[in-house]
Amino acid sequence: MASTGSTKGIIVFVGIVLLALVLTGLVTGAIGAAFLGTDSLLPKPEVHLPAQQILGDDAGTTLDGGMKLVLTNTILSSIITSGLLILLFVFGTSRLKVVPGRLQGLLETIVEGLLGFIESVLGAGKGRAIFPLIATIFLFVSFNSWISLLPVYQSFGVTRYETITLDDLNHFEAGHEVTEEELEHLVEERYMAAHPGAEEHHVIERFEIVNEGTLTKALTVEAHRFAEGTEAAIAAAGGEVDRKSPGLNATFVRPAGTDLNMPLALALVAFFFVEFLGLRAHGLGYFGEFFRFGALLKGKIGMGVIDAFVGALEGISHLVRLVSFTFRLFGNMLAGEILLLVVSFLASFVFVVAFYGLELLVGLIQGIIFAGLTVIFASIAMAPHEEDH
Amino acid sequence: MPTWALALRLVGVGWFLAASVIIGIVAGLFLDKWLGTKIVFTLLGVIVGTTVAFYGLYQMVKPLMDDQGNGLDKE
Repeated sequence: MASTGSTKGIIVFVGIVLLALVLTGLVTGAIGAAFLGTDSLLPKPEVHLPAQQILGDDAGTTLDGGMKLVLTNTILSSIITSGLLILLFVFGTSRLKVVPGRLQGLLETIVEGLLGFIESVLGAGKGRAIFPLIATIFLFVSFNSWISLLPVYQSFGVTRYETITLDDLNHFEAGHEVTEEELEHLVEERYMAAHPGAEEHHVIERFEIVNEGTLTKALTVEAHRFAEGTEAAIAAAGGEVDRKSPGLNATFVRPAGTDLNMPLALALVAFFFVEFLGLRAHGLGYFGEFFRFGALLKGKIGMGVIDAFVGALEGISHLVRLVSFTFRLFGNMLAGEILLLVVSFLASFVFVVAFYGLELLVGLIQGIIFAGLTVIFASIAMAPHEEDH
Repeated sequence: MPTWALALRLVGVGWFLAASVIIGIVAGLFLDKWLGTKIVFTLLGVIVGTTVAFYGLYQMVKPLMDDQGNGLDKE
């Protein structure tokens, strides 16, 4: 009796905690804020399309044209993913036993599952030969997506500022309300003046007012950080200070799939791999698939033109694969990321869990699709050509 | 190839169709801008893109249709 009583107690306790979390999420999120007519307690979600740099300066080249190291958060994330995968497999398979332990058992299940999957399409010999690449693609895509679902993964980062001096503010007319957009414009103009002939400059959307020069005009200034003495200087000139919350503008890590470069790199690997397999299986005859001028040379004009056209279509469709590979992965990863951001802004805590579950599934499915399609294209490339009828 | 593998190809069908048409249009627009022609290449791009899309679709569905057709013939 005592044990059922305590079980019931635990269930009731968990229920109450969940309910409290649901209510807190509703009240603090944007939905609650809309109903209560207050400002949301959570900062507005920010979506960054390009990867943010956490090391190095804006451009990958220095002013005198030399290269310098730039590290973005998506690159760091993919390095971490690869490192963890390598560690996991090296550690799990370093001392192999006939009766596997838990970790070895798990890894064996993964590897055997993948091998079965590939061999069912390509047959045992060919399947085993291309297994390493396909398995790597699958593990990297899935693991990279899952690792970013760890709640702490994207919690740390840096905030970088563009600096604006008090002198710069004299650019505006007296009595003006200086907004973030105007500061952004100012920074851009300043950069263009300093670097004639430069391409457009990416402005970090955080502004710090630094104490240099003297302010002569009464301005209302909107910025994220005010250096010591600047608030007093602005007030002394008869203006006002509007301090915005800076938040993080670059987390240290961000899932690599949300950076177009990673899917593109994987797609290029898969594309060249497939074409290489085709070339190896058929030799130069592989190109006969794309340049079908045989019938045309034999003098059959009607069939020849159609045949040549089909060959061109085949070639273009191979290139389209590259693009669709890239954007499918990129689109799914980015959409998942934005979905999680927005849902946690609308109602945090309990509701989000369902979406995290969904993203777990999406990660697995994207891995299967990317790896599976590569296998299928490889098998098509290696299959014997259809002879002309 | 097992049927599920053929079916897995169809997972990519939406992206394939979209990519073909968009690449055609963008390439056409680019060529038009480059050569200073009005809409000749854009129209051509639309046509080629759409043709590639349908050709690819046909290639993806054909093996599945063959399978089914053979099955029906045997009955």
